[in-house]
Amino acid sequence: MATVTTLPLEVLLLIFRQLDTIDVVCLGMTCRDLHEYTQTHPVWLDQTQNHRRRKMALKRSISSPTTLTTEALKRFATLQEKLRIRWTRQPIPDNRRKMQFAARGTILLPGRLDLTFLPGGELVISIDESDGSILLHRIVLSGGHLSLVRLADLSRGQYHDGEDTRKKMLSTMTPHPVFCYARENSVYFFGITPEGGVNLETEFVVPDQSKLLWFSGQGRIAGIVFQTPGPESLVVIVSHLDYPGVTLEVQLPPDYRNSSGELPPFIIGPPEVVVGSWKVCFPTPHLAVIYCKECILGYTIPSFSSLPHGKQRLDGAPTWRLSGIMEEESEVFRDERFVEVLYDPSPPDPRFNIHLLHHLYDSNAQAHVGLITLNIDPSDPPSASGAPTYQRIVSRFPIEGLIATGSLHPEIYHSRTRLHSEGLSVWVSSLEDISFAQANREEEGRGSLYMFVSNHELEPDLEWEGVDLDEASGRVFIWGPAFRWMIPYETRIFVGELVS
Amino acid sequence: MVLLVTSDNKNFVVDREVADRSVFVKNTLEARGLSIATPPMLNGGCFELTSPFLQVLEYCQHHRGEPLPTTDDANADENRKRTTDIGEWDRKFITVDHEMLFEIILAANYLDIKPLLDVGCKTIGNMVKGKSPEEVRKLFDIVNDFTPEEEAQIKKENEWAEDP
Repeated sequence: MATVTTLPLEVLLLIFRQLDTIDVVCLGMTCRDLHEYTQTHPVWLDQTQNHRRRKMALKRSISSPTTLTTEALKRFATLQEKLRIRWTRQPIPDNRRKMQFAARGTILLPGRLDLTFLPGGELVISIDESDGSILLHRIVLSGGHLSLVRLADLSRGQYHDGEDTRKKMLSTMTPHPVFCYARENSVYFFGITPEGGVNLETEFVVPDQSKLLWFSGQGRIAGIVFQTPGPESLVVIVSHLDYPGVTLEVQLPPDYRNSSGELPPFIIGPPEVVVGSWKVCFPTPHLAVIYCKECILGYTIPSFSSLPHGKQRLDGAPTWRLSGIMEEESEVFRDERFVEVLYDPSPPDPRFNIHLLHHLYDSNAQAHVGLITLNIDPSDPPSASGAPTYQRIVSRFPIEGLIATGSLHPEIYHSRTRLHSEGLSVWVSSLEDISFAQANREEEGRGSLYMFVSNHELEPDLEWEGVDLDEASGRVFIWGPAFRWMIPYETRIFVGELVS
Repeated sequence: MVLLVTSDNKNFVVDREVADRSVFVKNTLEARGLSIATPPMLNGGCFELTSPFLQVLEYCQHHRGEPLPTTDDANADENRKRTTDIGEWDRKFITVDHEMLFEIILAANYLDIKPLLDVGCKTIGNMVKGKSPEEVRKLFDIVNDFTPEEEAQIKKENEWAEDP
């Protein structure tokens, strides 16, 4: 007897094409045959436009290895890569720094010897805490045995083995690894070539009792942030593989600490955004560094909250420089929770848009959202004639009644935005375990702002037709031609009025 | 005129114009003359073609003379995708019991009658839309062969899809 489960696959696919994704998923939940087909057929995977569902399908498909297709494997590899990237974006509290090391390739050996494998797998840096030696080796396979050939001694004097282990740091980067570490009051940077050479050695001295807050590196650049004792200040050290680093000391405002007397956590957004030949990285939440990876000229964007409204053109010398940060200007923006970067791949004009979304909470727990849009003209790279052209647009949206609580889904990695052409802007972004989409529908100069946080990933490429809130049922409806969702209001919906 | 023979040895004489609605028949006639190949084997048994074939013939006779979809029609795939509209005559034609509906779809697929196949698939699609897995099972008499553990796992994975 013919029934839906006996239809040939090509016919099933034709039926799937008549259905919304959610209906196909429901069909796949009816029995094993249909479930297997909906999870593994590459054509089906291709036709869905929903990233979340695609990822779920891939996850399920790997539980049935015999049904994996080449396409599914490829997609899963991509997924893994994205997840890996997302993981490294996580803010790393002190007690997890060693996890970060491990994720970057450091193996913590028993005893007092740490090995860090550099990208490529042939070079390794060893730190022997017993004698403070820091050596660069090449791994050699000979006669069936692995051995280490010493290439360079990166040590500088006696290695400090004090109580403050945070002064010991190690960072490797791709594709041009920069190695940096701190000892005593000195910070050292090394650029290590793929052949094992050392082409940059830079030393900086920081004040006694300094506290390491953050360090990282991206490609040819590495940075370290210290908090100095006494009159609180931040020391930001940035070094570039091809340029000597510069130091910057910035005074912290007296009210910088939160009500608990602690410094705001140095939670950073995606550490790097690549737009054409431009990169944006974030040494601190208050400092964005934008540089051209080809011209190796960089510019900094100071404190987001201090940026003036309106569009500006920032002119500057065509050289690497750092400018002032943390110019606190408003009592409202005291406790800045995080900054994240939204990159719009399809802006309305040919220039690149990078959106820096700033989440702010004032002393009354009122939430604000600041948005800085950088319009970067890719045809205008930095040159000897002047700075790159970009515009800063600052917008702030006080959001009444915003309550940000709840445990959210960790499997989030989108960080993109899409600006809708019909007055409906949708931001899909993420940081840490927080994902939210925000639809801003402006009507006669006064917008209604709906925000929600969901444990469902949202496909930023989807065309959204509308967002409606049904307070009676407690659900938000998001309508699009290819999907429909109704998200429970009571757990994950934020609603507010756009005042400005 | 063309003589078409079904798997249960029933003979049907139809106009060439009607027979040519089936790409399979059309190609076969052009290549081999006035006979039909052995019916397909499906699910280990012989495909009983007569009953759905009568339906298929009725469809072909009604749509005789209409332009056939061409494989190089750039819009063909798009037109077949996500189009729930079914013509009035086709809608009445396809209003049959489920078993006949699937038989017609199988016949249309085998005989390569794309417009009829689309009508059948759209009809199935319209029946499935908006239904929960349990409702779909009930609709098509699908046996739930998941173990309780498997079903619980799948439901958990698809919680987002089960919102009303």
